[in-house]
Amino acid sequence: MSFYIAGTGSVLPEKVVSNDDLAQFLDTSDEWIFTRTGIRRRHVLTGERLDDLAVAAAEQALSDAGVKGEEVDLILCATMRGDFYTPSLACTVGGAIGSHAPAFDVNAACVGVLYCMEIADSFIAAGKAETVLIVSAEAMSKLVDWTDRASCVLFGDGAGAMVVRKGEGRLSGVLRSDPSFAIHMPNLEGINSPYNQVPQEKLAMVMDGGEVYKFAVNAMGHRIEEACAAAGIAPADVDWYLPHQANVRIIDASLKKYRIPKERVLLNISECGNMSATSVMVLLDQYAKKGTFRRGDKLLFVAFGGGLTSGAVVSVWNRD
Amino acid sequence: MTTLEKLKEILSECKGEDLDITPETTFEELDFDSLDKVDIVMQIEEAYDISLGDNMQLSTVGELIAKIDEAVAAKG
Repeated sequence: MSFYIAGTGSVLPEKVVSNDDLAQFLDTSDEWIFTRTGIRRRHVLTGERLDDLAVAAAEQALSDAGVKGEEVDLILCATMRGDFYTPSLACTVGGAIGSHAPAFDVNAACVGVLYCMEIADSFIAAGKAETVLIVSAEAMSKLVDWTDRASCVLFGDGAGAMVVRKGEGRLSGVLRSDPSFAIHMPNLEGINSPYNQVPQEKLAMVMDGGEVYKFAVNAMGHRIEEACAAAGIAPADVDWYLPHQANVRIIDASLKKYRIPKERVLLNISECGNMSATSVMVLLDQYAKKGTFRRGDKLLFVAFGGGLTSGAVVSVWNRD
Repeated sequence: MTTLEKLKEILSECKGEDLDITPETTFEELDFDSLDKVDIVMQIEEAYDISLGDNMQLSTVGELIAKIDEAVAAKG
């Protein structure tokens, strides 16, 4: 017995920034960004706080699942950095929904939601939880260098949530790490210890594009094969692929050899950019709300990210 | 199939059109972007079961053929 997805939610900041908007202050263009990434626009935080978005997404997911805050046994939040180092974003969400369940943040970069799904599965399998709220919220606009045209154009902000409950749904999950600094972001800025001797670096995402592309294509392909094998299905049996939305060319390259029809690979990258862990969560909610999934459909989540981390989860859609 | 023929196949598929390449053809002429180049290297590595290393600089088709043949020979 594992879990099924009982409810979903997502919230995006109001401000939409197009590629043309970026070309106003960066040496770039809509054509350059779109042909290399598949991104047209992204949502960016202005006056909103990340925890407000996370709470709103969580409330949507709870309402969708018909679950009250006090019925939640565990709150997990996938984020690289919330509004505060402490309290965690998971605790902030717990406070807002009236829960005293254990709550903690998980940092596995863009794979965070998949790590949370597997933690939820473990808690449920151990009999320690029956209802788990998984939230993800990322303020990527506050983590990138807006003078670096190679990286800041890739990201967007957002929040999403899902409620998972004990029952039949999840078929398999695989997680992995391949430790590397190919994607890294220092966090030493602002330390004022008189004893600190480590030079402070600017807080900004640094990526080795070529190495990341290569890792991403290989890792996504391998995790798909492993998760399908563990679920006892073939990649062609998956009804819906929900890949991390980092770059449409990475998605195409990693799925190419399975000859998956394009309409079964779900995308929102053109409108949202890369929202790190939150990408797959928002993707799930958007397509769930469109009525895309039918009871019994097999969904495969697959992601890669900083760490380097990667993972895949196969789950049957168990709702009408 | 010679390395040049195999490379022609990989580069043509990546470009989406039949390319007429010789060892003297430069990658600048072929006008692949940075992600295409990584993709090409990955496909070569898979086809020949070799590793060409990260961040390989591609100048001419002839140089790439030499690197592939060298890696294949080193594999034994």
